[in-house]
Amino acid sequence: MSLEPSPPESPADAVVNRHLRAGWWGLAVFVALGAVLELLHAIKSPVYVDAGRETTRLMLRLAHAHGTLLAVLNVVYALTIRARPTHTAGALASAALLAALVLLPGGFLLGGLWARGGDPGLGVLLVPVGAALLLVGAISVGRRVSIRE
Amino acid sequence: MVQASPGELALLGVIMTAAVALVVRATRGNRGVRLAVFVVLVLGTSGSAALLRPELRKASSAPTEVPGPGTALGYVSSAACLGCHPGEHASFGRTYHRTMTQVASTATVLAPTDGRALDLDGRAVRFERRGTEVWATLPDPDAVIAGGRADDVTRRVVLTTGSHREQAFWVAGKRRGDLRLVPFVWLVKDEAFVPRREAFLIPPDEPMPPVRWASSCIACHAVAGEPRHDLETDTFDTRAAELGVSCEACHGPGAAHVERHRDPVARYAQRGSKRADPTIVHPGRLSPELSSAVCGQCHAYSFPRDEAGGWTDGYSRTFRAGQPLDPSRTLIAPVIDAPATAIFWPDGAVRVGGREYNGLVASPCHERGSGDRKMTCLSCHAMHRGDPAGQIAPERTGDEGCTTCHDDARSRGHSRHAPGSPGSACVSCHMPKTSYALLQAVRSHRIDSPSAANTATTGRPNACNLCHLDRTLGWTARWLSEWYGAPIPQLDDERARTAFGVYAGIAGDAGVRALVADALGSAESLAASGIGFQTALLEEMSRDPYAAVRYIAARSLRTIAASPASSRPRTVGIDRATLALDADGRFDPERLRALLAARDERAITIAE
Repeated sequence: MSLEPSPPESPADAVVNRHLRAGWWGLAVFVALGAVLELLHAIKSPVYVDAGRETTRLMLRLAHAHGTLLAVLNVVYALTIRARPTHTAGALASAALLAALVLLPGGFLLGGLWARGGDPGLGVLLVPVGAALLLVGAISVGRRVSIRE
Repeated sequence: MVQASPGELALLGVIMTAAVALVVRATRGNRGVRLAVFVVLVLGTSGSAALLRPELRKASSAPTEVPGPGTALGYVSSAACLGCHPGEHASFGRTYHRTMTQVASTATVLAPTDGRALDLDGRAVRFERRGTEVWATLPDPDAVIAGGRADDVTRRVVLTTGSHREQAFWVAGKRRGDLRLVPFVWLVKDEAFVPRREAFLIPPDEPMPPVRWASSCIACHAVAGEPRHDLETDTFDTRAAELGVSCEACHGPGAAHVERHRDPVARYAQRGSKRADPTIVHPGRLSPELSSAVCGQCHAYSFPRDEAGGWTDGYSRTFRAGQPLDPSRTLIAPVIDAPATAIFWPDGAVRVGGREYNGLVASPCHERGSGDRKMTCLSCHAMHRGDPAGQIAPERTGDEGCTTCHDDARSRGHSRHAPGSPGSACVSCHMPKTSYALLQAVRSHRIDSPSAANTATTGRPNACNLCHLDRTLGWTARWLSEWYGAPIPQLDDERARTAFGVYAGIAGDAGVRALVADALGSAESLAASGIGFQTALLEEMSRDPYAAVRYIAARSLRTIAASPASSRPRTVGIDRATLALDADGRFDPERLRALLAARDERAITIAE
């Protein structure tokens, strides 16, 4: 067993590791949220299935769906950097995708937990910001992977 | 100002902080990108906040006078039914039962709230919107009832009653929990305000009886309503399991059912079982008597056996769906001394619409039937299917409600009318529109057969002459005698020589005149009588002393004016003298005087 220190992490590796961690932990959180929602449905919890809770239900489902997909997207981004290390590990794309992973599903989650009748709670203000950052991230990655090696 | 809870704001801050931390970490050493991302964050959040709906920024709460949550055991409200019964919840949501009582808002008030002045004896009544709230300016309702000087007051509209034909509006009275009516109602189909006193059939010189929501309406317009009236202070601490007529009105309290079926195993076991669920009432599986009683809890004239209990708990502790009516209330029957001119015809049929249970239980189809052949409300009606207006089951919209038992009626030419014509329908003859409610004629639910003799002795119109308004009662008697062997009554001279529509429309009592005014504009009578004689008659009826008769006559005139000109003028073949018309088609003044002299002037109040 070697006791040699591991070589220093390259900037690209650091980004890859950050997105893998964020992606897999995000996946764990939002899949767990999905399981909670399924449980609420199974036991017909009044806070989730009763009339008047439609907005809460919609927002929590959107939080689960967006969170899960964005978590997978962060993993895919990490794998993209591995596949195309030269150009794709940009700070803008990385920051945008990480922020979107928190803001988009977080906004839906808060919007659902504090829904007011047919209107979501104030947390929904985070959703358009998260969506904008997701768009920025997607465009940034798209531009970078379009550059010929 | 946005109303937000501390928890909501705290979590909002946590998520924003987490996002900022991730951005800082991802943009280490790249300040330009970091700045760009922060700009997106700040501009996006503030831009979204600026676009918040004004209603969300300033949330409107329900009026404080809305009845509080019920205290009767076991009620959970229809909101708890949606999770497992979305289809039934949606079909119930389409009904006018659901919207019988609603918390007033711009979403539930059907009348215009533009502040227009509605004239009430020279005083202006107005409805106006404030955000999502509706407010009314009206003469102080308590002062009006006390008979003193009534200054104008402006109060928030708390509740609405009705949404199908009419809508009435309630504001807070001066005593705690008391709700008083705004003196105008909105006619939904006609899109018109009318003073409330003109929307009911009452004598012109009689004031409207004062009405309080918690004592007059709560028993039927809410689920498990509790007036909780304090006799000493004359205040109310009104409660209801739910406003409007919702799931638990017909299915009974749902708490045990909901609790049991939170368990998915129990739920799927029940879905796979053919046995009735003991935790909930299914009206379709009750005995005919108990099934009808579910509807009869509201659609009947009755009063509580325990009057004192009725003032405090209503029926919330003495009746629930699935139980017989008898222990909780006394059904008003024509044999006891209810005023015959207000509630019942002298032959025992109910005059008031909406009280169909009294008619049903007096029908031979209910009295003599048994098992599946005993008529109940569900023989024709379905609460979750069909047109919400009448809630007739789609498969029972024709004669099928009757031919399931009377299967030979059509084949033997029983109706003596052309197949498919309005006169051939079972209900046309056996459920004539001799009840009255909400400015219109309503079908009687006491199944019987047309009888000219009954009309002659009781004044209750017969089915034949409600279409053949241009024919005399004697004409009807002769045909009923020839076809069915019915007796021919003795008629006085004026009645014998005058078309029924003319005689009853001028000389009948006010309730009869209202029914005739309605019938004169009905599609069935226009098909049977043709268009020709009605205008002069309806113009005369538009001068009736009763406002309700005048309103209905005017409506029928509008209907006739809009009818196709090609309608068959049957009056050509009838002696004009029968119709009391002169050669120019105008009322013969002498005949009109004679009919007015013969008018039944008894004061009529249809006690809706």
